[in-house]
Amino acid sequence: MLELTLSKYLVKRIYTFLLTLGAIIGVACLIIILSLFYNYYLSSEKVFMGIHPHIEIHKDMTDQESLKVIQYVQQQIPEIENIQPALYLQARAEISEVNRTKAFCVQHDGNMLCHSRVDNVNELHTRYGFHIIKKQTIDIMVKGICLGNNVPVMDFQKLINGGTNLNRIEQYEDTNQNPLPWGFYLEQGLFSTLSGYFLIHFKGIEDRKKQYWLNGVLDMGTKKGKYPLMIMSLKSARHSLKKKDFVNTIEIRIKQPYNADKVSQKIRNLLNNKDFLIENWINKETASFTFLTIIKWMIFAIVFSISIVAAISIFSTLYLTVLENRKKISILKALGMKDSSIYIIFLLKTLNIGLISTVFGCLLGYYGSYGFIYFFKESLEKLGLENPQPHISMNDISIVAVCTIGLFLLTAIIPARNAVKIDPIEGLNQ
Amino acid sequence: MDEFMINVSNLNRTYNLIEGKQLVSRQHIFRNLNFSVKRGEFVAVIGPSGCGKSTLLNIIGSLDSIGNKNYAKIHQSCEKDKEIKIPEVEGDGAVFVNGQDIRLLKGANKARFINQNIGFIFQFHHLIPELTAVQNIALPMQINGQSKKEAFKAAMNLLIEMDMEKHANRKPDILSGGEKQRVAIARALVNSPHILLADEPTGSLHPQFKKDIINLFIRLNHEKQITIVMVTHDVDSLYNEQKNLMITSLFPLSGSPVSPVTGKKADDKTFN
Repeated sequence: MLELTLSKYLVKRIYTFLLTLGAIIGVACLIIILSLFYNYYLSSEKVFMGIHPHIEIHKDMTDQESLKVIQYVQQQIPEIENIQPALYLQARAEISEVNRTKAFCVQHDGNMLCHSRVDNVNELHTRYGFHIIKKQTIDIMVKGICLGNNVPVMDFQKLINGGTNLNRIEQYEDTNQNPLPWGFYLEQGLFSTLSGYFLIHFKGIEDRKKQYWLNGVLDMGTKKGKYPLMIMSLKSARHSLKKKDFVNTIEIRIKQPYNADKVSQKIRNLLNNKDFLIENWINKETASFTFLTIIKWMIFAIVFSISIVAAISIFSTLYLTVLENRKKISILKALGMKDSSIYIIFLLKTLNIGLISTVFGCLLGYYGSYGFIYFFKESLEKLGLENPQPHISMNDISIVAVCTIGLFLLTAIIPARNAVKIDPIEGLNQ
Repeated sequence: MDEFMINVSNLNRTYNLIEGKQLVSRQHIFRNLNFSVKRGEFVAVIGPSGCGKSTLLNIIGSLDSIGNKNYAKIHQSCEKDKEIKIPEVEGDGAVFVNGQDIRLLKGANKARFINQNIGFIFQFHHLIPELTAVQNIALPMQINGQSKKEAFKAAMNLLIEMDMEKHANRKPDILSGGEKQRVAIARALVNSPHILLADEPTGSLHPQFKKDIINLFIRLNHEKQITIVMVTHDVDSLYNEQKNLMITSLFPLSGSPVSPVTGKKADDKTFN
């Protein structure tokens, strides 16, 4: 193609090289940002799906009522993988991290408590003392859940630091049928320990503290709810919060989490009762997703400024090229070259730079992501990116390619127009 | 009309010199100029410097337009606060090239017409320095849409014809003046144009090469029956040793004095 041949001679090679290099750096930075942001997205999704079931049905019900609803919904909707009753309540609690020790217990001061254990066969009294390390009175969100086949509906295992034996929350006795402190999980950050004995007093519900076992902490990353989250078994929650035979939530896990909207609508149509409030994890976190998307595109726009600088360089180079090559352009016009062909020469030049910069920029960006992650892994993990990996989707590459090439093509328009307007006689007499 | 390859009738051109929004002088280059060239003729346009020879060639070759252009504002002589627009270059007339009224040619049609009908040869060759000789020659054919292979083949044939095939892959900067001009002539011929317009083709050459180039043009005119219009100062080279004119005819253009504008009312009527 003649225009392609002539476009090679339009700008000196060294300038073409430098312009392309600048464009490659711009594209690489965009790819690195998108790759890292994808990790952030994945981490956030993991947290969202860990703290929310895919679908929740809210209504105050008895055990029997909830079982009826569960059976009905499960029969009608094959997409459901796991469906369990639950109790979600917000409560105010005094939570104390304690060291438990055997003691002869005489209560001298308010900080020493005793625990008596009575064997059914014999009267066996074992007294425990609890030395309080740290105490907090806070509002918390208590979720009392059931494990179906030892698996919870919420996918919160990935959030756990500490004991991942989830069954512990449903263990109330040891093998000798001695009572065990009830297990629970608590949001990370309130206490420094990952497991241990705790005393919890639910204010306004009970008049004394009870012993619990912290099985592990939940790493919520940057996603923190209004109240810290506490997860225990449904039985423990009912007993602690004095809600016998009471359920106010049905948790549902489906096979395809991203179909939660459709399945929610199906359930809504099935139940057809305004008393049921049906939510899904996507609805609940719409604001978060929207925020993430906005942040992503804001960062994209900021980093795209590197490509804009490269484009300005291309524009000024082509503008000067027209001035330097007036004679050559006039020769081409005198030989009968069309204005459109002259436009094409300039567009091909910028297209060439755009394509090369996109290809090599994507490669550099992808491998640059590895390097970035390697050198800044700790900092990234502090930001909430767990085990970050480079990831580029075709969508990302397409967006970067379209924006970069489109921008570069725009830079050719004015210089090309100036070239077309050259008077061949004036140009030849230059 | 058809027997004439080029027919210029009542061509006028005037340059208005404007300084400080005042019309200072007017230079009439052509006044009702009539000029025609039949198919296969070889006509040399001669005249003193500044008489409009190159301008005539540029107009015929469609590199310059016939009508008014480059408008500028000037004060009206009696009412200085009023401004009118006048063209710095005034012109009118009719020019037909190979039966085509070139005033009607615009845009891509004009470019195509130039490429297919006219071969232009300039005083200073105007070869593209980054391209080799064969690439320069092949350029008009490629602009015409022909394949690179065909264009290069035609270019090589022309180089062989001009005994220049060994210079095919050399760039213009290492060719002599005469060789460059031969390459330029080959470039002008590659599309087999009907008309060759040569603007002082020997002007920048060593006297040794001038005769060669003129003889080349004469040979092309005789062998290929190409219509040639050549602007030249070097009238002597058009005569042979027997003082006979070797070409069809000479067309002299007279000089064009500059007439200053004094106390003349500049108004719309003059320039519309």
